[in-house]
Amino acid sequence: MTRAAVLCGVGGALPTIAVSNEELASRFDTSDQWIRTRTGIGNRHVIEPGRATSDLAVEAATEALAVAGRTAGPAPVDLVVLATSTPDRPCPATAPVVAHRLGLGTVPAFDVAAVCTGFLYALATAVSMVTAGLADRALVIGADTFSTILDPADRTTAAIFGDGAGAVVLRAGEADEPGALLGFDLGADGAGEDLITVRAGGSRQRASGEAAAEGDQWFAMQGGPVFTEAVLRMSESSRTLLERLGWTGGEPAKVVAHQANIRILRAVGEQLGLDEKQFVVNLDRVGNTVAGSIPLALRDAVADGDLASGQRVLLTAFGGGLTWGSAALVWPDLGRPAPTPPELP
Amino acid sequence: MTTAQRISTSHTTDKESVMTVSIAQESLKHRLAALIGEKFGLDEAELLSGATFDELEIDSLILVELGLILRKEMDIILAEGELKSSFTLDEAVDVIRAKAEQA
Repeated sequence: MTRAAVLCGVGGALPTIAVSNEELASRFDTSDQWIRTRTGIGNRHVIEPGRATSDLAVEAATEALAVAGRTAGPAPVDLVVLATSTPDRPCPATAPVVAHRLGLGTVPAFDVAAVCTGFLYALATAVSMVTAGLADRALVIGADTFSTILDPADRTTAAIFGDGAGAVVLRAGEADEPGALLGFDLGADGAGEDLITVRAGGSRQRASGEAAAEGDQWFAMQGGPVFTEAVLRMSESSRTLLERLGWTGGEPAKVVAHQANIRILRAVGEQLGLDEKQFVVNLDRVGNTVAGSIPLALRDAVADGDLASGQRVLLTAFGGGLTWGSAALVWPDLGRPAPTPPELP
Repeated sequence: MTTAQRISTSHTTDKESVMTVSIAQESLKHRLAALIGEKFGLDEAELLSGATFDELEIDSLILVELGLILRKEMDIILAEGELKSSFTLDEAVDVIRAKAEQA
């Protein structure tokens, strides 16, 4: 018997404010057709005034814990790992207040920062801790509110990014059970730190003694090179993991990739020789929710019946850092969260 | 044999090879037109007409995607921005051929 971490719950949360392409077209020189053809995104959500990342994290976690309770029975959560690049405060981490508000007592709780790869890094961390016996039931959350760091004058990032959170629950189990995390491939390359960044607000700018340069307080991304790196890194990482697991010849059944852009997902499919139908997609409704992206896509896929127990599932992501990673599991039989609402008008 | 290899092995200096290069140039151009046509649903004849990518509504995002396809199909690695939307197909072929010869 080999101890493993087994996925037993998924949940998600979105702010109530939806922003359609038409609304963006009324603010910027853009159009629904321009945004859809270049990104596949039709709608995204923006955090309500007065709320923050932890509020979405708590909501997503609450749903995931309810699903886990129905799937695996009640058991105390003894670890919280939260992936975010938009914490409630620069200091301290957001995970402790999330654990507190969930009524989890004084369990260990900390943040992981790997931008859009954050959830997979957090998942790898929690899986390692469960496998090592440091925890028996872990809550892993990805939550971001990028609307709070986007340049208000930038139509491109306004179209791509949305706020949102997703969460999964892991329980200690056996390696041969459905839901056991079977392997990871993770990587990073800091030579690309300028490609996806907020330049000001950290120690580099603060210790310079200079005020932040105009615009440096906002998130900035170099679209072309990011597209290329995202496709190549996710493809290579996926290939590495699939080969290690012997999942070749059209496997896996489903790929849940970071919901960056439909054209990035298609290009990854092209590189891996996988059909577009094998990719789970919810970016049309939510945009790129950064660390929330993969768990939110998992949650929506379960709610909509796009993921079935017994299917081989590959998770893959790419983000700022640069960072990238992949994970694999056989999908477990989960209690269903509520169906996702249809796309808002 | 990929087009890149065919071009690099044919790159010598006598008259015969000049002809080989120009045939390879034509063949690379047609191969590129076919690839762009197939992957992006564009008309090959229009691509071969001498219009710029801009005029054909091939934007910078499509050129990034084309870079990935060239890498996969022909082992040609282009740097960011080397293919410009102001290029005609012939100009793109020149850049790609120069890359293939370097390889």
